[in-house]
Amino acid sequence: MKMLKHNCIYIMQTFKRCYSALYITGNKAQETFAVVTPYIDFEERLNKKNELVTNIAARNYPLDIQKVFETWDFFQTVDDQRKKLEETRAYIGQKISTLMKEYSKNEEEIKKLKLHFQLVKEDLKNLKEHYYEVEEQTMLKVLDIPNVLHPKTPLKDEVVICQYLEKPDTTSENHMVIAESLGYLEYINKTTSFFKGDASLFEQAILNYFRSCIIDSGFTVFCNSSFCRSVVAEGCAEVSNVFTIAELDCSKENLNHLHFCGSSTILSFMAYFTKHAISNIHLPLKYLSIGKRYRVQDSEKTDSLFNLSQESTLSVFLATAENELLELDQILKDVKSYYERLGYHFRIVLLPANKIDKSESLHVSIQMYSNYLNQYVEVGNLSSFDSYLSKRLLFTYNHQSPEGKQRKFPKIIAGTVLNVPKLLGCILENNVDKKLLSPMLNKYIFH
Amino acid sequence: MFDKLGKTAIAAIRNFHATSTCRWNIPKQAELDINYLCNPNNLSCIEKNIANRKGVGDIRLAQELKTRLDKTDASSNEYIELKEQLYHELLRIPNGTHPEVAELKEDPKVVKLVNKKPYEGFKYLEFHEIAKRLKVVRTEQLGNVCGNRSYYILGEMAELEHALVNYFLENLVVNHGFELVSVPDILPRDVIERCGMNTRGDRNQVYTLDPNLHGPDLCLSGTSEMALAGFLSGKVLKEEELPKKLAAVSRCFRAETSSVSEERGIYRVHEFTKVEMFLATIPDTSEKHLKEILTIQEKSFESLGLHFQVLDMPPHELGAPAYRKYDIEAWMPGRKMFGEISSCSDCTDYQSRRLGIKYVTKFGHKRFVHTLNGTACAIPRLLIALTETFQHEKGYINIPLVLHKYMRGKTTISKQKQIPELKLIKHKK
Repeated sequence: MKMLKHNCIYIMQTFKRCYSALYITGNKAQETFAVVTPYIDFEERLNKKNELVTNIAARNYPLDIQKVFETWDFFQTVDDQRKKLEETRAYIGQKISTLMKEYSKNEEEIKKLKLHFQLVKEDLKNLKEHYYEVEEQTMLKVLDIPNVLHPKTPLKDEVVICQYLEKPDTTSENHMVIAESLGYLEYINKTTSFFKGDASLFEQAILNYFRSCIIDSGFTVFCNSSFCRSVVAEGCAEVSNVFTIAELDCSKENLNHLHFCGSSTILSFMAYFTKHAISNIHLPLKYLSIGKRYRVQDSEKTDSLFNLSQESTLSVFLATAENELLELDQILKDVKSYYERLGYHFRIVLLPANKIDKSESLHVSIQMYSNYLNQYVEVGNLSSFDSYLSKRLLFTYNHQSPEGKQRKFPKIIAGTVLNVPKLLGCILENNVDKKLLSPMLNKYIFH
Repeated sequence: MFDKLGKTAIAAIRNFHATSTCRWNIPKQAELDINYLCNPNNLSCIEKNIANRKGVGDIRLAQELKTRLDKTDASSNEYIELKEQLYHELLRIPNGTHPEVAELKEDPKVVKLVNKKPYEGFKYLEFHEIAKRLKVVRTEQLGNVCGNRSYYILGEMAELEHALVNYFLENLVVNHGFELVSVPDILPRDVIERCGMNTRGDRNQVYTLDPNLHGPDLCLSGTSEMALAGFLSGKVLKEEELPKKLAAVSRCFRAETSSVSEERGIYRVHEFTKVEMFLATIPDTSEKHLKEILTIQEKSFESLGLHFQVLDMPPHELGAPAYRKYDIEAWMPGRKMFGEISSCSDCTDYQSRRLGIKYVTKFGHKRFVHTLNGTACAIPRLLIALTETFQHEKGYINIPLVLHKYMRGKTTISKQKQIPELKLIKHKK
């Protein structure tokens, strides 16, 4: 027991103290409401240990996976110990109560058992002193492990899967200069910019155009909440760039803060499904949302439409039982055709493992060219999240199998199909002379 | 998890904040009408106005400070302190009140009733009952994941939201010459306060971003009126550019809470979509333009077939900035009450003096513009009024004729079968 206690302290010192709204241990449950208990699939991932090691290395993800393995093993030992002690305590307790029925006959035995009971209780108390902290630190490290890599995700370099028209070979001014000179933009800082004239009408038109097309592809419109709580941000592994709201009546113990993320984000969709089950007859779910995405931008980045804290976007959210690649291919094919009708050069690229978010399994990037920067800029994306998000935030579906009803985790595909300011920036640089509102887009300004 | 947020975000955010108020063209100090406010002859008139509006502000104290300031050496520290105090007091004084409105007592004056009240022999259901049955809105079990009073609008009801936005925008831009501006939703505290909205204290309605992470002075916009006023701040317009008519569609964020039963469901919420009108005019025409805004509103709601009343609001309902304000209340037959769906205000030079919005007259003189604002369409309550008014006994909702072309030809909203029932997971396994 002493050795165990020593190791507990070692584990707690090794990992820096973290706070989580996603994983709440039993000792904290009195002061903080545990919204969900994430489904931990680490045992399953341990069965493919080599794959996990390759994944972390390919992503260049800063996590010492060997240490996580050791911590996990140690936690299992502690947990086994706890279970054994609890079982023993229950067994002795039950035996004492049986023997108590004939006390005088069993007096000696009862005395002996009571002593054992006391020892076990003492051991449990000692163990529990550090148990919750070991549990929390272990689980938070496990939850920090990135998603599985989709077999299509390149391990080293990006893979261009298609392109439309040729890359423009003209040089251009920075789109900020063009936009301000044409009276399209008043830029104050990364949080604050005003779009005017044809640019504001373009924003309406392009969003309405994509919305109309995507509804035609069988998607349902959602108007989402712009706020989410920390549990959802952590569940989606998007904590570092979300805005946090100051809550006046918030107690110090509250870990589940309010964040301002925008209604057209994966966060707002996952908030909708967190801790809920649906019937499999509704799968696949196909939803779209038009709105804003708000995120903290590093001021080191240049002032441009590519680095705004507020962006008008159209995002999609799909949940499927299986065959997520089939769904992804279908929506990608559709989105590609919507972009083609705009008449500008773009390419579609599979990003390599070290360029994708830890929650993503596959990231398909729709990119246009910035003539000024001489580089491609992502104007839209579609990502596969496998069941990573649904396991973390407990979004399940019921599956009827010969063995009975099973609870399964849907696979999620989501992405910002259209990022208006980024698209606008590229279009302004691609062809200065061309009218921003083409006859095709003109029809969509108010429809 | 959040140790990561601590490190990376705080570093980034410090930088972010350092640049967050740059290039806003707001004057250091509001150019108030000191000659009027500090003239002892106007004391009783201003005092009466404050009392009438049940507003804050102490004009007597302000005038005393002015007298002391005039007697103090302008190069002394005391002078600077007194000047600050004087401005602090003067900024709290509300706008003047239109003489016709000043006559009103507690209740607003009903200016007109439009369209017939829906047939009363029908048992109208409330919005939330219809919405639940048709699966077009979700409000339950969202507090722990999105915050209190959150809601999602789904399927065809969400399409109706887009249809309304497009219908109202097209009317403003195409028929009434409004310029569409896409506005920011995070604003400096200063811009919001200069529009006449309090951002501090227990009862304020403004969300503030966490000052430890994002700096002390960033707030969420409660209405695009603030962003549009900020957009014009520090600008000097030409007289021939006026009236400057701006329109914006944005999400509005309000920290208000309510436990009043009339405000249940999505009646009073923390965020909603709104199409807003904002005008800058020469002083002589602001009264005329307030009527113009009101006419646009009346015609639009009339075209939707809603039964509504137009109210000239009494002094105590004007807040600090408005000189005159009209509210429009639509009849919500399920709730059996009129509910506010729109309003418009003439703020005269209250905002322009605080934000430095001026124009140059034909003779080259700089003057303050008058600002006006009006709601073209505020989504949740308009959805309530439309749903309750046009519910059919068979359960679906009829969509007003003028909106059909914005609904891709759809004429009704029926049960959204593609939206799954959600079952709360109570246990892990």
